[in-house]
Amino acid sequence: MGPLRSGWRAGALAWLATLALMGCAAAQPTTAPTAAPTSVPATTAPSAAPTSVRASTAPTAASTSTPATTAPATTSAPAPSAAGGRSISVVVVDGPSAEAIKALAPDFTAATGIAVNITQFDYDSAHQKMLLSIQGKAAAYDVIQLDQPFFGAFASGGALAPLDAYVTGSSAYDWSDIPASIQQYGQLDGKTYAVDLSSEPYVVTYRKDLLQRAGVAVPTTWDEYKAAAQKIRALAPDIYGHSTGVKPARNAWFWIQTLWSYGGDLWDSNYNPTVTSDAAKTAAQLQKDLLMFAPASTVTNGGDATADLFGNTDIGLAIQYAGYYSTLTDATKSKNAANIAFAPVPAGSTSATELQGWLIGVPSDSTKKDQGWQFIEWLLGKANVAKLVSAGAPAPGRTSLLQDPSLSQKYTIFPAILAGAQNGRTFPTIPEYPQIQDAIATRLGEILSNQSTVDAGLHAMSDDMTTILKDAGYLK
Amino acid sequence: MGSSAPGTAGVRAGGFLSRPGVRNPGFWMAAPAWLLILVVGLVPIVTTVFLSTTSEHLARPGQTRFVGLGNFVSQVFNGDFVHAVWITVLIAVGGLLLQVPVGLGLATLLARQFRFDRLVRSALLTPMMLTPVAVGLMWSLLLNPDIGILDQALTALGLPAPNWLADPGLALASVVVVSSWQNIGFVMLMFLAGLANLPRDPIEAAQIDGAGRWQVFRYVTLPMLAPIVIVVVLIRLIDAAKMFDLVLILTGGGPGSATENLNLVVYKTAFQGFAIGQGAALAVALAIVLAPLYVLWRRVTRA
Repeated sequence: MGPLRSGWRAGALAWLATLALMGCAAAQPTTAPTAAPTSVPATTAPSAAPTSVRASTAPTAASTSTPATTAPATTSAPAPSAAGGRSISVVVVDGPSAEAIKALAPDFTAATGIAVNITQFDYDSAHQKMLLSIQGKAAAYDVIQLDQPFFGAFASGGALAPLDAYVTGSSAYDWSDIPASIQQYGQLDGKTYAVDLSSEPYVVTYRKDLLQRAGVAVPTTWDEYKAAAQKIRALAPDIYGHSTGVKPARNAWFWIQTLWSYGGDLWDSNYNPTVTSDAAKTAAQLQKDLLMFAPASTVTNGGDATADLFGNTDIGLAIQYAGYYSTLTDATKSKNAANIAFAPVPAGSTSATELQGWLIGVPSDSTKKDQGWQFIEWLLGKANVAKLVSAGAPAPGRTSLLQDPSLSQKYTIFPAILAGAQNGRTFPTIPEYPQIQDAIATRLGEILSNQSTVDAGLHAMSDDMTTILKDAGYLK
Repeated sequence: MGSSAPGTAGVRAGGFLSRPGVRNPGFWMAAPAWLLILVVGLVPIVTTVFLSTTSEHLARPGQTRFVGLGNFVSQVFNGDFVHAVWITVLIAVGGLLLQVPVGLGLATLLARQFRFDRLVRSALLTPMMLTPVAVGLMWSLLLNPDIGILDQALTALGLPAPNWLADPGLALASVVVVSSWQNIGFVMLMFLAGLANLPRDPIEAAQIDGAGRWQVFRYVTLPMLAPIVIVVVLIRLIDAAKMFDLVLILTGGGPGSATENLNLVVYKTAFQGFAIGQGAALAVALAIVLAPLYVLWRRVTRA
C-alpha cells in the first residue's frame, strides 16, 4: 500500500472520529445561556469592565469610581428543588435591589414551591448579555431586571413580553395603586412591558450641619444650589460644596436633569436635536461651574463613589438618585448618616425631576411567563413590597407604600420619591437611546475637561445625535 | 499520458494533490483540526464583513436591511474615527518608547548573575501575569486624586498632585504608563532570551580590540539583537493597537474622548449602543488599519 492510500485511510479515520465526537457533544443538554446567533465583530472584546455605575449599586469597599467587580456573571447555587421541580431563572444587576431580591427569593419558594435561580451581572455588561440571550431565543431567563435608559431598546426590540393582561388582572399587584407616571415608566406606545422595581428620582442630598454652618437654606433653585455650594466650599479647604460624580454616563444624566429644569429638551417633535439651545448651554455651564466646588475625584466618580464620599467626608450638597438613601442613612456605611437629609431636586425656569429606577419584566423568549409574572407579583404586590424595602431595596413607586405613615416616618425619603413620581420625566424610549446617551456623555466629558468649549461641545453633540437619528430613519 | 509512479494512480501531474505537502499523509490526518480552525476563524470574519454592510441593530430585530458602504461612510470616514486612530497610534508608539529602552536595559542588567537576580526577575514578570482588568482597577485606585496613594505621597512631599485621569494629556500618559508597567516584563524576557543566544565571539573580539562596555553594546550587541527588537516592536505594536480592557477600566475612553482608542469605539458602538452593523464596520476598519503591521511581522519572521 502506497503512502498516499495509507494517508487517506488514516485521514478518513480521523474524520470519522471527529464527527463522532461532535455528534456526542451536540447530544448533551446545555445549561448555560448561549449567545445570540448574531455574529459579533471580529475584534469583540470580553464583556468586562464596568465604567459608570447606575444609581443604587452597592457601594464598594474603597471609594472608587468603578465598581470593584468585573467578574463574569455570578450564579447563586440553584435553590433546593421545589416540589414538582418547578423553577424560574431571574437576572439581577449589582446593587441593593439585587441583594434584596436574593434575600427574599427563598420566601417566594417557600410560598409557591417554585425554585428561584438567580444570575447576577455587573451593570455595564448586564444589558448586552440579556439582550443577546433574548434575541437569540435562548429561553435562559424568566425575569430580568433592567435600567430605564435601555428600556426602549428592549421593548422596541421585542425582548420583553407584554404585561398588560397580568397587571390589570392582578388584585395582589393592584395596578391602580401605581401612580400614572410610574406606570408609564415601563410602557411603550401605551403597552406595558415592564413594571417599576424601584423609583429613584433625583433628589438633593444635603448635610444639615454644613448648611447650618454656612448659613444657607436648603436650595430650591439651581441658582440657590450653586450659591450654597460656593458658600459651603469657602468654609474650609477640606470641605466641599458639591459632589455629583460626572463619570460617563452619569454626566449625561445630570446634564439632562438640568436641561429639563431650564425648559430644554434633547430634540423637538420632528427629532431635530435641540441641544444647542440656551437651556442646554446653561445646563452644561452649570455642571462645569459646580465642579469648582467639588472634590477632584468628582470628574471620574460614579454613583457608588459619590455616595461613599458624601457619607464619609465633608461635602455639603449632592444630586443623587433616591436609591442611595439606604446607603447614606446606614451608620455602618456612612459616617455622616445622622446629619444627612433629602429634598426635591432644584428647579430652573421650570420644575422637572428626572425619574430613574430599575424596571423588572419577563423576557419574550421565556417559556415560563406565568411563573415569571408570579414572582414579580409576589415581590412587588401590596402584601410584600414593604419587605423588599426592609431588605434594603430602594422603594418602588407604589402610592400606598409611599404614603404609609409609619413607613414615611422610618424612611424620610418617601415624600421626595412621591414628589418625583408625580412630576417625573424619563429618558426617551427609542431603541437608539443608548447610542445617543453615549454621544452625550462623550461630548460632555470633553466640555468638562476643557477639551472643547460649551458651544463647540454642544454643537458636536448635536452633530452626533443627527447622525444617529438619520441612520435610524427619524431624520431625513 | 506518461507512466506514473506506483501508488500515485489517479494523481494528475502538477495538480493540488501532487504538491509535496498535500501528498504528505500528515496533512490529511490533521484535516479535521485545520478545517475546524478554518471554519471557526473564517466564519466570524466573513459574517462580520457581511454585517458591516447591513443595518443590523439588536433593538430592531427583523428590520435589518442592506446598506452597502453606508456604515463605513457614517462611522469610518469622519473625524471621530480619525481621532480614535490617532489615540491608538499615540498609545502604541508611546508604549514602545517606554517599553523597548527600559525592557532592554533591564534585560542587560539581568543578563548577568547577581544576588537575588531570580527574585528580581520574578518581581518584574509578575505584572505580566495579572489580567488587564485587575491592573486597571488597581491603578484607578492608585491614581484617585482623593484617596490614591500617589497623590497623597506627592502632597506629603509638597509637590503638585494632579488629577491623573481627569486631564486629557495625563489620562493618555497614564494609559501608556500602566500598559507599559504591565508589559515591560514580556519585553525584558524577549530581550533576555535574545541576549542569552547571542554568539560570544564577536563580543569577545571587540573587547580584545579595546572596545568599552558601551561601545560593545552599541556596535556589537545591539546590531545582533536587531531581529529580536523588530519582532518585539511589532508584537507590542499589534497588542497595543488592540488594547481594550485596560482602557475601559482605567478611563472608559475619557475624559471625553481623550483615551478612546479604536477597539473601545468598536465595543461602545456594538455593545453599548447595540448597533451591530456599525460596530462590524468599525471592526473591519480596525482590521484594515492593523493589516500592514501583520504583513510586516510575517515578512520579518520569514526573513
